[in-house]
Amino acid sequence: MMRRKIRYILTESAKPVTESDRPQFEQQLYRAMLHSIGELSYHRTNPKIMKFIDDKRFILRCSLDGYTNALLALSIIKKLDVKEAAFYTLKSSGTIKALLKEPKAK
Amino acid sequence: MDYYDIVMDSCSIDEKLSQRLGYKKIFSMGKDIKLANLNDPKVRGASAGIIMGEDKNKLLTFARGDVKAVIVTDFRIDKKLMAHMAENDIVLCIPVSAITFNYGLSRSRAIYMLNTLFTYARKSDIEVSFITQASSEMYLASEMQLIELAMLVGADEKYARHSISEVNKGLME
Repeated sequence: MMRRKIRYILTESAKPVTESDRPQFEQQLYRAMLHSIGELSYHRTNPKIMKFIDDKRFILRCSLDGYTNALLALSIIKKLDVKEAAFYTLKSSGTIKALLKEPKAK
Repeated sequence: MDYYDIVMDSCSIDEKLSQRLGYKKIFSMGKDIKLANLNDPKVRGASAGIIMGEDKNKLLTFARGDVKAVIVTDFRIDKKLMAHMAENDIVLCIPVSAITFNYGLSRSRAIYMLNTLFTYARKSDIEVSFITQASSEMYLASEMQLIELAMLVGADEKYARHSISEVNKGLME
């Protein structure tokens, strides 16, 4: 079976997400992304939250084919359910390890 | 490559956030560069800054003065204005907040209008600056997102990067 190439995006939420709200937040984010990307293209993006780093930052996995759609969806989502929301994509990489590496001081 | 963004003066951003978003600096309209909103009837003159408005005759009159960039708020093309901008090296600012702020059909329409405006501007040799023009933190976008939004409007990656680095920096000099 051919393995799909994937991309990890380090994303920051403008509003903090408490630990108890995470499962609900995850579902709301997928729903909002489905709405933005569209039913026919969502499968190409196939987003999944892999890990919460803190109350604002998390790692979103998507397939390489749907990487652009994921970035655009995260840019235009301004509401989750009824709550105001905004997402900033900070970095992207092919591995989680590289994503979490601190940049070398110049 | 250093990237720059321009936001409304109502949007306060600390340096740490702007660095996290991938910008060297986020400039503020009204503080770092003058902004004249021509939709406001009280505005009488503009100098060395950005003018924004809908009325093309008014925009053209003001653009004959000392102006660095123009924001056409209804995104409609005016050939006379565009020709004047091309002759005088006036930059066309495209605020991507028109895409992120709208919803549904109006968002689709904004993308279409911006795409037409961008294509016409580039064919006329006008430099285009992509900015977020965010009025609050909620409408900010990181450098990665701004590049993708510019590409959605029709720019290729190379031009999108040039726009948010050199063109945006040039507006502040």
